[in-house]
Amino acid sequence: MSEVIVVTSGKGGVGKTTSTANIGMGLAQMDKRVVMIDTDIGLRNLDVILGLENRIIYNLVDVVEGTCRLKQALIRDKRYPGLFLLPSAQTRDKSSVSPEQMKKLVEQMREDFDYIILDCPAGIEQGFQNAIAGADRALIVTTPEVAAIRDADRIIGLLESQQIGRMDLIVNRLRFDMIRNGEMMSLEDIMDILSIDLIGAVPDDENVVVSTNQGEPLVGRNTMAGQAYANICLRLMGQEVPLLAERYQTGWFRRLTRFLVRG
Amino acid sequence: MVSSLDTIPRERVGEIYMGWFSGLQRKKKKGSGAVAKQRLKTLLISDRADCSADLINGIKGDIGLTLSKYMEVDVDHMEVNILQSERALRSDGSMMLVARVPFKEINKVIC
Repeated sequence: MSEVIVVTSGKGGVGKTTSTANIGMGLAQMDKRVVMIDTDIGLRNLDVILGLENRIIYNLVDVVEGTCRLKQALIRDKRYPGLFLLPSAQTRDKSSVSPEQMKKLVEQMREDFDYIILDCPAGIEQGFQNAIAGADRALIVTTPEVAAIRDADRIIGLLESQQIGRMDLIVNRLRFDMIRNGEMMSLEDIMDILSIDLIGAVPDDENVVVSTNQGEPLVGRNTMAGQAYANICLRLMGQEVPLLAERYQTGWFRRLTRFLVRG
Repeated sequence: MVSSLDTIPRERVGEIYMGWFSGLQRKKKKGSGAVAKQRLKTLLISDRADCSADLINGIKGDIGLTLSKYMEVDVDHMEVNILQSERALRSDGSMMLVARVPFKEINKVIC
């Protein structure tokens, strides 16, 4: 049974594309057949995060307009069997694709993949409407900041009115040292405000910068963010995994694990 | 620097130090995380209902005023919230106003 997941946030720069890349690759590591679709027409980024930018021939708009077949546009990621990317068009605008066309495209892909992951553009305009059109469930990415949480709340309201099947929250860039000092909203604070289910808490980890520099997602690697994304994948597959964050709440333990994990 | 402790009357020095000290304490009690949470709460109420924070504050004030006829209301800790559709278990997509009103005692004379 295939599942169509949209990764969205409202606000830009909170980690939608990084989350899409890591979750997509993480599910492929767990032997799932995965396709990631970049729906940000005009500002494509997912290809770069994945390190596949040199292999693009056709794109999403070409497929929708019938310039090429779907199979021609899909880029196979050689790192894992069963991992594919459908890149977005860089020189077109968002009105090149309609929500109905997206829905049709996604339905067409269902039989070939276990997970279809849509990377949504920032904002709530047509690009957002396109991305959510065919989705079964949504992952809402936010950071512990007022502006990001406000936008997440707006997105939750919009998704509810579209009657999407399920919504889960990913809180990105948590700094547990700041939370302990009371200078950052905690997971509990955020859950209290947004009141939707939490599927993952990703610590602020400099390894993410390194991994995007290299075009190699860090999911599953022995880093804090890599572990957090692997746990999100397991939870998506229905497993119950305790929150990594709980382990970092106390100071000395965090320092110790950081020391051990670094190698 | 011209103004040093010498120019301040002796009896005020303690006062100044105390003020500085309690300022530090207060800062530790309420970090910017708590400020952010409080700001978000107010912001989201007006966002969700698509109305101004003033209007909500007006509703809150009036509820407090009305209830204070019957009970001793703790106005400072009153909370008024607007919840939308599913999260408020409303299937028709309408919104719900939820007020949390802490009080100390019911005024038995009127009841």
